[in-house]
Amino acid sequence: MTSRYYEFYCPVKILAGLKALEHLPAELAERGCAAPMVLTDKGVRQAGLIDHVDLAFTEAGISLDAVFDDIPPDSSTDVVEQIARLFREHNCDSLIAVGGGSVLDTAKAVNILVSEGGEFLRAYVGAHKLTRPLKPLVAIATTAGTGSEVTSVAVIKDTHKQKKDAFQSSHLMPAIAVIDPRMTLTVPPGITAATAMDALTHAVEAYTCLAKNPISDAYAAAAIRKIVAALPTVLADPGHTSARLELAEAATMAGIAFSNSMVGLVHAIGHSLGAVCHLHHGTCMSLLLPYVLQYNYETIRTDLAELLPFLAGDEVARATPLDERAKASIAAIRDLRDMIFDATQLPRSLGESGKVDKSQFEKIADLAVDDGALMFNPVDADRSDVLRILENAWEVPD
Amino acid sequence: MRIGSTLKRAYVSTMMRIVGRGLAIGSRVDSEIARELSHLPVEMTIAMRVYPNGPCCFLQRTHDDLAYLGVRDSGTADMEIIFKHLQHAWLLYTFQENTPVAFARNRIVLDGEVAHATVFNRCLARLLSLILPRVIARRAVKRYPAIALRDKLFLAASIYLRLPLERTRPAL
Repeated sequence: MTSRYYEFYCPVKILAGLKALEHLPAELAERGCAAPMVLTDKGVRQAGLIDHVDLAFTEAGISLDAVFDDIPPDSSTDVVEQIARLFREHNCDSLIAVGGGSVLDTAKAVNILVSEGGEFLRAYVGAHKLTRPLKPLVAIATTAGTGSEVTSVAVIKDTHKQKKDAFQSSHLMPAIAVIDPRMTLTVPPGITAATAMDALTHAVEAYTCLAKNPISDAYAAAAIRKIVAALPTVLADPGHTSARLELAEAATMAGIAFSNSMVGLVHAIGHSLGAVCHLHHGTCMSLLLPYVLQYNYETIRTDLAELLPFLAGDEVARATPLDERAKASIAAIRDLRDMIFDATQLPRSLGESGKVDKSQFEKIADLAVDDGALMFNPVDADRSDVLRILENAWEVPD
Repeated sequence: MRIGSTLKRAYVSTMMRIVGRGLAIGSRVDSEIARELSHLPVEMTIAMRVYPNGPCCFLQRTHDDLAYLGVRDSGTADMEIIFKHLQHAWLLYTFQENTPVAFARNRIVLDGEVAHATVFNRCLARLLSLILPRVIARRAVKRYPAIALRDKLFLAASIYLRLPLERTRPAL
């Protein structure tokens, strides 16, 4: 107890609510920025989401002239370096990233080059390589799940080495995150469910892993309550604006929680499962979460029991005996997973996904034990443990 | 308990020598450590350092084993595990905290590949499980491995007996 210590840091200004985008021009002006560059991808452009951003600035008398809308799903150093050159050519002074994880990571990496100087990103690979604030970056997430809008990490593929490089620094965190429900309103139910389960996993792992702390706990628990309440509403009525806002807020809160307390074994296996089987990250989280919680059970049962009111509601928690609450929390997550399956057919097991073959388990386990997230899991896991979890997650028990 | 910083620094420096040499010997006498190290690139250098200018232990993966390059106050490596303060290294080397907990409490900064750090952490955990009495080792590692007492004693003796003979080697 004497050595208890934690750190908590989140300097991101959050603009949240209906028409939140309309606050952006004044926020940038307050930071002395007049020429932002917009980064996005073709999907976001085609969905008409850029139009909301464009209109917010046009009505404020500002024209968004510098737009790069061709960021691929798996962004690379070549793309980052190309955008940085365009940024300089257009004499831009800030960045607005509109999209999912790849767009936000690309924008963070571009910000390194345009703020620190230089042509090549590789000089900044790793942790704590940045020593001064970067240019203002605005993150507008178009999915409610990754939490990238409030994290200090970017992952970019090195085009020449064909490997992914991680960049980590508190200076990478966006200056502003915008949560406007218009930006997630058109996300299809399956993706909405998968990304919500990603956010739920961020929150649950933040609450149960080694770097948990009282402040991240508060964000995590509140995020869980919001997800559990809003997700069924959104799946039943995808155009429900306030429930969409609740989900997006929850994803950001879960992002704040896990960027301060890290994630664990669900993510370690999930990263590897996604890499080997090309399964959507949120789906991996949804499939694995109950089984990893079961694996960690003895060590985290107190934390799990504390989460029951947030996962199942206060009445259920009050009616559940103390020593059964941890198990009830896992059961509540299974119930949520099954509800999602009924609503969207999001797979409940590796077998149901149709994308995983048992012959791939060995490769997944090899990668998972070398994943950095495993370090923060409260229980150690070796290859055989990971293989057992994968076997358990293969099919849903009757 | 208050310990003078000179004494603390001397203790950490001594423990770095023991752990560094122990890992080098372990890479030759324990198949588990050898198997883990085979996942690291040949010629990769590793440092455990106390920021800003505290003791720093250097190791290098060779074609055959892990070489102990010595403890000194300066130099760089391909992967560095940096204690942000002498006190943090003290906590780890007095087995009040294990490495994952030290990472979780932001006492350690990693400069290098995360995957390599996880491999090195497993080697370190295996070494401590072998050379420390079970009651202390359980505090020093996240999970104490299933190992027969006879095997543990044999491997611990193999490492301890070779410690005084383990020499500092030049880098490849």
